Amino acid sequence: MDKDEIGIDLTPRTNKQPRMPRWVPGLVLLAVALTIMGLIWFLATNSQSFLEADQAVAEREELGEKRFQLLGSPTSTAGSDQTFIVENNEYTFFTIVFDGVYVDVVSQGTPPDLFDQGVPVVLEGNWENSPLPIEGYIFSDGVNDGWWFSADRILVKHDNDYRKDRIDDAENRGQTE
Amino acid sequence: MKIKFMAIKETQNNTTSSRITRFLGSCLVLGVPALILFAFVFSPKDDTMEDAVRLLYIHVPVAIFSYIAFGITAIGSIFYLWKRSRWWDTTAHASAEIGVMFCALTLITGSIWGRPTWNTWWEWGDVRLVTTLVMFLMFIGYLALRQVPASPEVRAKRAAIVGIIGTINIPIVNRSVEWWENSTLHQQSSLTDGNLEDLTLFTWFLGTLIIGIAYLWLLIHRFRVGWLATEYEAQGYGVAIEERQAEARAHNTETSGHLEEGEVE
Repeated sequence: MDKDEIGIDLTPRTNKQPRMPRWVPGLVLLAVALTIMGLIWFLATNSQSFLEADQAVAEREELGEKRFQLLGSPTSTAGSDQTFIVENNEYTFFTIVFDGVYVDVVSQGTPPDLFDQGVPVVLEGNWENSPLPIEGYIFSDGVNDGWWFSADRILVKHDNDYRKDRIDDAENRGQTE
Repeated sequence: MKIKFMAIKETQNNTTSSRITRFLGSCLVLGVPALILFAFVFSPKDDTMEDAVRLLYIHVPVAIFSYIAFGITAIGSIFYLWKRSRWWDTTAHASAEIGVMFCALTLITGSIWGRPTWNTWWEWGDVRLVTTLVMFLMFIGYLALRQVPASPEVRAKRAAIVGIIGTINIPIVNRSVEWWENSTLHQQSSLTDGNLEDLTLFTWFLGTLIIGIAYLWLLIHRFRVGWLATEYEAQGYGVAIEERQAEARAHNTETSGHLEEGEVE
């Protein structure tokens, strides 16, 4: 039976839906492969890594003025006697400790709400071995050896303990003495 | 195969609800207000985080059920490739959609949590945050791939491959806080460390139960909608062929007077 015999074309109609180009599945697979490779690359090289205070002190010479993230726990809550305004810039002076190693810190701006003694913080900045913004300032718990960490960002690394009578386990985690 | 049976049965009533979904829905109607009460009224504030701790009751359950949802997608994908069953493909698709929604909620609530707790909405170098975002994007890609025009079999096969690959990221996301402890602000699991107690622990369990019921309720409904869509798609070809045959028969009847009997076969 063909068109001439019955006078009607029974050839199946072409699909009017847009046909996907042959390269689209390849592109999708390429996107998936690139995503996986990007993830591996990120995990292997590009993810941030906090330097613990003791490690940062040990590597101080090599780090020089390089910017990095420093992990440690404040030895005290930032009080009003530790905050100063110098040339319209607010500075907070405090000390952090990790594994018994202390680091004096001068931070620009006001510390976040959860900034507290024993609560681990991640500070972004670099080592300085120059005069402090307030010359002659003495860190009450600090090292006061001329080296200090200049931070312009404070992040809080909150722990996972929500018990009412929780023990401040920063010591158990090795983040304090 | 019970769900499949119910899906077909319910098709006759033009509805995706059934006794089980009505039961689950009723549990949600009662459970969500109870969760709100426990989360905002009965459970205590945290000593340091204060009210921000209440996000725990939604953030952690949606994160857990996004893992489960993507895990079900992977299982459905594996079984589709093995059995070539439309049931498994529809299950994988339904679960992926809900997983994407839960994963988006995880990212949003996590960001809201991060601002008062960590002092930042988002950190691009943070391992937990970025791997979760990658997981979210991979399953967005999975859903996008399902929209690419193709025959149902080809579409299901492609989606199954991506669904399996995307799931590889789940253990990385989950374990990242332990494997890269110094590369994330995110805390480790409070539950496995036994750091939740009393009403905080109870409210967390309640939140997990409610989100679990919501997942199941959504999964069954979405499965049934998906099943109806594939049935419609499959029936569509049959209807089109029947229409063409009827058209040909009608035309044939009109022209048969001009042809001798037995000529048109």
